[in-house]
Amino acid sequence: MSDNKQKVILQTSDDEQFTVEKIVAERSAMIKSMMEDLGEQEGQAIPLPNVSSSVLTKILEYCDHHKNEPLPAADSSDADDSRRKTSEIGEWDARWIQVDQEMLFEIILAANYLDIKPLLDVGCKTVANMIKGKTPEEIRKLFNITNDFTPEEEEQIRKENEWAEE
Amino acid sequence: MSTHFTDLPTQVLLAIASHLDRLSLVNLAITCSSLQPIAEEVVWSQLDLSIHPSTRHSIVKNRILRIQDAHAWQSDSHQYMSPASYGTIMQDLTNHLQAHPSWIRSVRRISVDIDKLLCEPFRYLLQLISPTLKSLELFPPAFAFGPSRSQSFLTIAQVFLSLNTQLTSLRHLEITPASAHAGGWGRKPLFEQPDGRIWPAMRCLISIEVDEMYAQMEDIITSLLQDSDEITHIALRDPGGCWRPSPNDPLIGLLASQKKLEYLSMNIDPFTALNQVDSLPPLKVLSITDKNVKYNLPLLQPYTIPECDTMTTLYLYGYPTLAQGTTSFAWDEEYQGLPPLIRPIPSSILARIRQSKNLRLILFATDHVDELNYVGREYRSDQETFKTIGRGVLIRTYTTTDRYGKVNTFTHCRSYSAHHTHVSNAQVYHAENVWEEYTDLNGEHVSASVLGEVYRVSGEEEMWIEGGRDLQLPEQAWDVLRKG
Repeated sequence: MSDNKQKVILQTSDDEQFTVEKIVAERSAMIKSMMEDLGEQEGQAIPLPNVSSSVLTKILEYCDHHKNEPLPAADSSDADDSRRKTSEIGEWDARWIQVDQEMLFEIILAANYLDIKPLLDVGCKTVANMIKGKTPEEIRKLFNITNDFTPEEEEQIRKENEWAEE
Repeated sequence: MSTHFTDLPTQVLLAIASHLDRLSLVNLAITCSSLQPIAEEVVWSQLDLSIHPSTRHSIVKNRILRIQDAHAWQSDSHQYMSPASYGTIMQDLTNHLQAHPSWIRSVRRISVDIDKLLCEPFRYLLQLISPTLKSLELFPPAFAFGPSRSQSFLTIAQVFLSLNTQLTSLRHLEITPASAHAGGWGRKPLFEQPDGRIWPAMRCLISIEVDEMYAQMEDIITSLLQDSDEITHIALRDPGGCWRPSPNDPLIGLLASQKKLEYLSMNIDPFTALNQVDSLPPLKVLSITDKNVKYNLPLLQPYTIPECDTMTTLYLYGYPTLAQGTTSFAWDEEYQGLPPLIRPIPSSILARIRQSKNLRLILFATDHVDELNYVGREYRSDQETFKTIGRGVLIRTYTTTDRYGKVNTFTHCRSYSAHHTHVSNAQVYHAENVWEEYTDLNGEHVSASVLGEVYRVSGEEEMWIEGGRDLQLPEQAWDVLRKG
């Protein structure tokens, strides 16, 4: 019998086990398809070797909050058009994702691995918002990036892309 | 272990970059060599060669808008440009793309004034980008001046048939031809095609829009439809009412045989001609301009529903609404419950509703912009569309089979409108609290008190703003209806 209260066990990279509602775990398309593959084998833990327990705790918080929303359609064949759809980050999501930069990247990596599209989207928008309006030097400082361009090269890149400047 | 920005997978970095504006993207490209190709890929995937002033996301806007019309003072900059300028800019861009072949495939969409487009430099540019171009929009010039005699313009056939490559990726084509009032350089020279061939094959084409249809355009559209059987969206708009084809017209026959056509926009006259052909395409959305559609009330009239049994949404435009008027509306958030007056559905309308057995929503829209938003994209829900247009009729039918095997049908049409003011040249139409309900149960009127009780026992909200066909009601509600 499948009902919403059915539980599933997730095992993180640091060998912690999380027992969560199926409906929460199914936010992850990857876990959902793994559960379908495993079938009815009750009590068997699903290994998540790329996710640490601290990141999973945070992500489950997100999945639990959004558990009753419809899952996004699996096919996104026309990525060009959907890319144009820029919507704001929801109020709850914006508050939830106020974490330090390292945690933010960990969340994005995990969302990518677990295939949770709306979460990946929230993460990417958050990073994009951090970049917007900053100079190259400010972006480097923000993400601790080492500049490997000479000033001439920088000028060249700017020139080649000047068609793109509004 | 700590994660660094540049350690994120390329797909993720591309997703982040896709949310950035172009200036930020260029700044990101400059930060370091590992991010440069990612940022540039997104920059160039958004390239939009728009010269048309209403297109906001124009990458080359500042450059090309300055030469928007070689024969006119540009309204923003008040600079007079020489006729050769736009050719030079096209040439610059062609050189630029030739130097960076990897960016060519990123150019997805072009929208330009048609008189800037039909020139040699554009032909070279198109030659470069045609294999990967997805969307092409040909607009008339923004200012009503003819070309100077010294300029040589190519015809559409000359531009497109001379391509060595084919437009194999093109999905969306929009043509707004130049009628005499929009540019004055005439229709004929541009659309003339001696041997009947106009376009190269476009196997991916799914959407064609024409904003000014007239008889001479027929060959152009026919030639497109003959080569494609994947077309889902066609708009042949004709605000001037110039196009009056007969049912035997080849284009009408071709339209009728489009197996995948979901969206069609035209005047009522060509649609009537189309309807006289044996079968209609499986249209989901029909957009009709009909001079009988007035801003006067009530909304539901016998002429309101053209015959088409597959459509779910009908857009209706009346002549006064096109371009001449301004409309404003606001929703009345305080309205609660059913209005006191509920009318019976006239039998002529009821017959049309039965025939259009999928129709849920009739919209009295004021311009085509809201339709355009979903052309080539997914359809919006009734609710979203309705909230945007603010004026229309929703249709619901409920059916059940009683214990004697008799099918009972309860129909509820709701015509309502936000606070609504429409100003046309001659008159001001002001509609406020317009909210009409029409009911019918097997040919009998259903009164307000019964209707209220039906919604109460069925747990359905009285304020519904979504249509639906063949809906279910609990047996209790049917009892209330039958008792009357």
